[in-house]
Amino acid sequence: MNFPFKRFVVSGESMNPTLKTGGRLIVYRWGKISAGDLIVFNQYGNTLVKRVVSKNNEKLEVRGDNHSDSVDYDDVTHDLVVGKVVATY
Amino acid sequence: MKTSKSFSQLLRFIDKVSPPEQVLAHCDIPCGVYETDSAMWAVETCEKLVKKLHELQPHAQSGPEYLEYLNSVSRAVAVKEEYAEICKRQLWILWTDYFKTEHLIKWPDLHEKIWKATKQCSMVKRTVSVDACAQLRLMVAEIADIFAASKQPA
Repeated sequence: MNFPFKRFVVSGESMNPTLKTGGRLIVYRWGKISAGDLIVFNQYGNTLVKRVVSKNNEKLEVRGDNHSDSVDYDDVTHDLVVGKVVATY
Repeated sequence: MKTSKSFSQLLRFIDKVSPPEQVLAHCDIPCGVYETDSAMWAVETCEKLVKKLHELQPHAQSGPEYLEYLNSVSRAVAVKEEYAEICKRQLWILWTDYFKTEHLIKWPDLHEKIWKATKQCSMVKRTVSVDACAQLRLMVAEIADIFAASKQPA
């Protein structure tokens, strides 16, 4: 059964200063994604967290908030999105 | 976005019972494996191929031997082209994925050094010049020194 919310713990620096290693996230899986949202998505076998820079009907462009330690993705299809971050704790 | 303290404590307690899934906020695919040896090996390959090209002599002006000569030249040029490109790519990887703002503050001419080194890769492609390879070797060695220094604890 898929619950609407899922908990994650962050590893890595690419979302500094918004999210830091060890930070906890609550991700809402059923929400609509908009530019500016933080999202959790699957890519190349990993689960990643980044910020949505832009979106169209097919793909999302995402980026880490720590630009010096992050590479953009412009090929995140909607089916790869786990959900958007709605809270930290 | 931060939850209330009591709710946060409750969630932390739940995390102890049922740990949350890890989500990665790494550079790209989490690798962390960066090195300069690949760039240097590529330079060495170019150097050897340039030397080989200078040593190649046509034993005939036509016929099968001449074709063999042309074949050897073509192969050496093709591999030189390939390895100069590998060197350029390896430098780009360091530039785009490894070096960060803090490195640029410490080595303000880092952008220029990498820019010039990658342009020198193109020079190695365009020419059959021993000097161009030697110059590229110096440039890559300099970037490798910066890379090694950046790995040292502050």
